[in-house]
Amino acid sequence: MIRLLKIELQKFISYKAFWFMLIFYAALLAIMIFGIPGLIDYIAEKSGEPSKFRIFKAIVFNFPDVWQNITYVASARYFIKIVLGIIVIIIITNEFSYLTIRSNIINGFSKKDFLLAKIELIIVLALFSTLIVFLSGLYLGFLHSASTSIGDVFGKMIFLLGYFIEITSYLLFCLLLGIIFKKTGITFVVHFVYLIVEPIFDYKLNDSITPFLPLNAINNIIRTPNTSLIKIKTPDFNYDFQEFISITDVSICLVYAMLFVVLSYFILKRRDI
Amino acid sequence: MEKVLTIKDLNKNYGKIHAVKNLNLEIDKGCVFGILGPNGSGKTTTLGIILSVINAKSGSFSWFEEPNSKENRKRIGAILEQPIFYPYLSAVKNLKIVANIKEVSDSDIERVLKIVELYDRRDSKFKTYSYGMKQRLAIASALLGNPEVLIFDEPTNGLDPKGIAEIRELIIKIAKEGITIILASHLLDEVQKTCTHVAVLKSGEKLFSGKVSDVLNVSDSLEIASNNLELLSLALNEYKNVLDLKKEHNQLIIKLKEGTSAFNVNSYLVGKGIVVTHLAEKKKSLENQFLELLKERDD
Repeated sequence: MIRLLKIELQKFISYKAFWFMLIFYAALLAIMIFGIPGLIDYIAEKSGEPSKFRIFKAIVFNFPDVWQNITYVASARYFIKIVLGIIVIIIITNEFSYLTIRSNIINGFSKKDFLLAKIELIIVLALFSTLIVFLSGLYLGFLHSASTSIGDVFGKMIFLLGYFIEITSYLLFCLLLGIIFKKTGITFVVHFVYLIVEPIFDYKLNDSITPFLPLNAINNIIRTPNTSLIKIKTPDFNYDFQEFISITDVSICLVYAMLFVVLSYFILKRRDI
Repeated sequence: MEKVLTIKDLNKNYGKIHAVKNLNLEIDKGCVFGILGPNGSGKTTTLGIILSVINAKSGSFSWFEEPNSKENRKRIGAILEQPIFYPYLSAVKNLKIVANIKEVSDSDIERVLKIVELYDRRDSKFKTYSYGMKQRLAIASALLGNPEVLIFDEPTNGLDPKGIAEIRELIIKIAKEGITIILASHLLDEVQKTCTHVAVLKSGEKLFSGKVSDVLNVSDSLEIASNNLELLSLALNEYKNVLDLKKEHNQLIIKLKEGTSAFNVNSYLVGKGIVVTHLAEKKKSLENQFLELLKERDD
């Protein structure tokens, strides 16, 4: 396991584009997470009713809800996690365009080794992303929370696990696309087109089917942000938001993650490279 | 003799094109085995299959008389078609990846880079290399960890005459160390100069295989002349060991059955009372043989 990961990292340790993208991603994520409080302050200033917004800010970044909120934002479908997806697509399609997958196999990798090394890299990327979110959450939480009791701080930390599963599954999806289409440009296009197309299906299809669309399945782990605000109910607006991570959602997502891996494996296995 | 590679009834199709047809091949330990054939004859496909990057349609192969596995590939050094490396990595970093995949020590990198004379450029990125240097790095990579078998696919393709000479020298030097070499080439000259054994492929089929020295010593063609060519021609037509007879200028060219020599022909003619004015064995070069083999199958 460690050997495969070591080889995988050796491939990218001097790859400037990889580090550039990764730093870009980390910076974007941090700016976004830390930018939100600033944005709220800014709106507060402009609105003339700063106290209302301060309450809002305290609610958003309050332990333990902060975990749900920042993981929700960081994992948003059309947002920065796409940068990580692009990194994965570049990494896998490079192996096809440089033909290096071929030399890896000739030198003694099995196709399974090749795929496992990529999956391990994906897990490392997802862990890295989760770590940034975790540190940001801790910082924002301590800055804005009234209560910093252990129970509150760690209360909804399960959302970090949900976030990790979500990011990993999404990156496995990108890996599969890269393996299917091989060319970087084509894979990008297919990826972005699919991001747009799935919501159209989502709109057209029956509600009982839509949770089973792949991107929906991935994104459904963290369905909504802050819970204390949306608990407010009026006669016109009476809707129960999910403020926990459901086993069903996670299961559907994990089934997809496994499907992505299995498909990737069989395509690699069957293909002449 | 220990078999390094055994190929049994191998087949591969690309759509309607039968790239490899019922190929059977055995390669002994320690030989320099040439796979000779024109472009598109299935050489690279065959090598791709035995290196597990191409899936065969049917048939089997085994390395070192063992079932196929990634562990066997770690005992082989191979170059397939063009040099393949991560363009943004230096020679040393590329070779480190190869060493780690092969599970051999990094300390061998210095040795192989010195063999191919790239040690001074070891920290330059692969993409800055000239084609000749890239090819040399590929050879260095194949040599890493002292493999038992080396596979070269068109190793001198795209090299200048000096580079070609260097690579051939290197192959002969490696062969002397007792490493089995499999070399695919469309150049007869290359096979003739470096190989001990050869298999000729055409359109995915094996036409012939054997020792290069045997092929070169075949003398089944004779130039023969006498004062009366017509008489000579009549006599030879009656001789059962003559396969083919052609008139050329003032002499006849005859093809003989295997095992028949100039001595037999001359004795026969003397028996018939014919005195020849010219009799010469024509040694076939591998090139003639090769072209003939290819032609025969076209007919």
